[in-house]
Amino acid sequence: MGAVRAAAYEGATPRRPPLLSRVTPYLFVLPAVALVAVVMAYPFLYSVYLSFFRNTSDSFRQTFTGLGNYQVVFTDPVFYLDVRNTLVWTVGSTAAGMLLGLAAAVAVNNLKVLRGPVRAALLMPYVVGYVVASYAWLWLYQSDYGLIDGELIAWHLIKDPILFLTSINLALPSLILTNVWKTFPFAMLMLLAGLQNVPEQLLMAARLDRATAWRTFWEVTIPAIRPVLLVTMMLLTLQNFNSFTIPWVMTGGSPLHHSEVITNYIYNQAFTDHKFGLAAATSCVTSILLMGFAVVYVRTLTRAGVSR
Amino acid sequence: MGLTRRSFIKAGGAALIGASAIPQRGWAAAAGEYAPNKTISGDLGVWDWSAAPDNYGVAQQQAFYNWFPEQHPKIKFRMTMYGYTDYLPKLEISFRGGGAPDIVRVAIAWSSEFINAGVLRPIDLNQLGIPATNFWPQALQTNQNPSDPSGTLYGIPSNNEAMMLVWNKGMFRAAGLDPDKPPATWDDLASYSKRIKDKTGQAGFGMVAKLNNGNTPFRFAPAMWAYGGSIFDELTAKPTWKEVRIDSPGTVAALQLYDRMYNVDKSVQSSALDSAQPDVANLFLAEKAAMMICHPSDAALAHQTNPKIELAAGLLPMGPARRAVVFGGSNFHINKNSTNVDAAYEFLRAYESPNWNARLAGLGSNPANRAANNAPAQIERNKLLLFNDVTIEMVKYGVNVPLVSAGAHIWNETIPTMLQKVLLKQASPQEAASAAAADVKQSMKS
Repeated sequence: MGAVRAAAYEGATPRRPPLLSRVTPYLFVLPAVALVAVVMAYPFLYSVYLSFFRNTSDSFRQTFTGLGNYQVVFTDPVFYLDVRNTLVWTVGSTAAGMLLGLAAAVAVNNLKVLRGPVRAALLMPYVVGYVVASYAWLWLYQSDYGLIDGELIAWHLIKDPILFLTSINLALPSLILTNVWKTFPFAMLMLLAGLQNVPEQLLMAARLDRATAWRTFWEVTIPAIRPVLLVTMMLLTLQNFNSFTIPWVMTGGSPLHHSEVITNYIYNQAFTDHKFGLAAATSCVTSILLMGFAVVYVRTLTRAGVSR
Repeated sequence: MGLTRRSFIKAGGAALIGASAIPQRGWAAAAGEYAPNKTISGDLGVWDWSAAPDNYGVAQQQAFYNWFPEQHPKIKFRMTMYGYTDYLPKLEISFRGGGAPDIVRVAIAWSSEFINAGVLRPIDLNQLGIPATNFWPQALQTNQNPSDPSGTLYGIPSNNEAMMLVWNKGMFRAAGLDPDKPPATWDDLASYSKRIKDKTGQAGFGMVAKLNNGNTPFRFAPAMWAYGGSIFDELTAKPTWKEVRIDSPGTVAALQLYDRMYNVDKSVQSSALDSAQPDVANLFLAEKAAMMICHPSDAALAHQTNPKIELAAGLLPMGPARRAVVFGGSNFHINKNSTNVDAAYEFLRAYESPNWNARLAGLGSNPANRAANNAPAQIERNKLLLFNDVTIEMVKYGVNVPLVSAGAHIWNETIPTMLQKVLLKQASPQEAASAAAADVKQSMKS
């Protein structure tokens, strides 16, 4: 019997599985694929289609306009301002969120007592809803009755209130700070899991070599958690790029679109101006930007050995 | 975000709910009261949006939409109530798809879109049995196609409203101003604002200048119109909405006034660029702003929340050209494809009848049918709403928002952007107005 089986494995032509067993796996994934197609692929393709049409102002008809909507997008100075704001918002929020998340993860990882309660407390911003968080920070930043300016003036540290949300230079950084407060716990959670999986032998070897704490952290810990760092950074970047709530609720784009991000711009085109074709065109341009970033990221991750 | 007009309306409406829960009973008949025609039959579909969080308004809607089918047992009545936020997209889709009901109620600024799209049925006021003189002329204008010289009506107003100036008499007194004498002109308002700031350290006028926010043009446009400026020809008797006039000297003068208050006198709150009406209301409640432009429900809220504020209300100031306010409200329209026009008219007659029209205006508006002003229901509402008589007086100075398809963009983006450019010193008033004119022309083409 063993010889027959051996003969079957050595040089014998494998038999093709029956058609049904080849098709069966695809049948199992078909419902999920159909759902994805309906919920994601169809709207995406319809948006691309819609981007070549515009509403006429005197009827509900759509007329073909070719690249007309794209021309409007690329000649609108507010579009470029919002793209710049979105890049600053994304890079700023992600970098600060990662740094703060890493610092919090290291601190929690090194705690000997009360690790659970401290971790739970640090998770609170993540649990609070975006609208609630936006209003809470709005009240903190308010220059006429906000807590921050109130305390600074009360302690004679400043004479006039700082215009956190109405100054062209300060509005976006103020919103970024709010976003960092809201999202750093996500980075903390991911990196904490990574830190807890750093092989103990590596750390012991570093101790035996009398490496300083900083050197251990930089040359042992960081490389060990590099895949987690990259994945977290990618997820945070995508999340931040698609943010809508904080800028919309806190400033509405004031002052003069300097705190407006691209999602707010698209929303205005679609639901204030009712120009769905234009909004679709802007969405397509934004998607291309995001896809370009995703390609670079995936290649980086692949080189890092994170994904195959 | 603190107590707002919305939260007051939610709470304060309870006072009237009990008295008004019984439909048409407990109210004396008003002149021209409705008599149902019970022979009318067939299907009738109506879309409306909820008055929430105005509990009183919600109760009136429920009462009416229960009462109407009771009075017309032969009509198969289907009523759908939507939330305000996503109502307009649903209306647009339904008309595009051919699934719109017989009757829809829409905000006044939305009507032009559907009129221009040609999906509405003309309304005959003779058949309705209500003379045109019962409605405000501005309200009827919002139901016309400006390109149609015949003046055909494609809807009728359901309710109308206007804002007023409210001030804190105690803060006036503290600044050495006569507490019973409001600023007569916009220039006076700026002077009062400066005096209050100098004497009390608090903002004289609560300025609303937030971007992407409808509250901003509602408060800036009255000043613009008062100085003789306009967006199109909305100040003429029969506007055509074609000629762009936003870069006129009147607009520039209004921008200069705002610039003076914000940058020169610094007499308004420092957060003006990020302030919508609820923010200004909070400042007013905390006695950190002495004057604000608002609805009567905001004044009633202020009185309820902080009774120690000595409130007063009056007409918006005059300008060199006129006194003006934004004309607000809603309209009813009949679907061009409605198959039961008789039932549609019957519904409108009932809704526009004096007592019902008064009750259905809720706590945030006033009846469109002026015959309702003396109805028992309106007299009851006036008791709850402080200074409602002032806003009714202001309605006659009402000017319409841009009744064009690009109106939402012009109102919510062009005007606040123009204002913010001046307040942030990114452009002179003339430059900002010229840029706004270019934006309006561009949006009219798109």
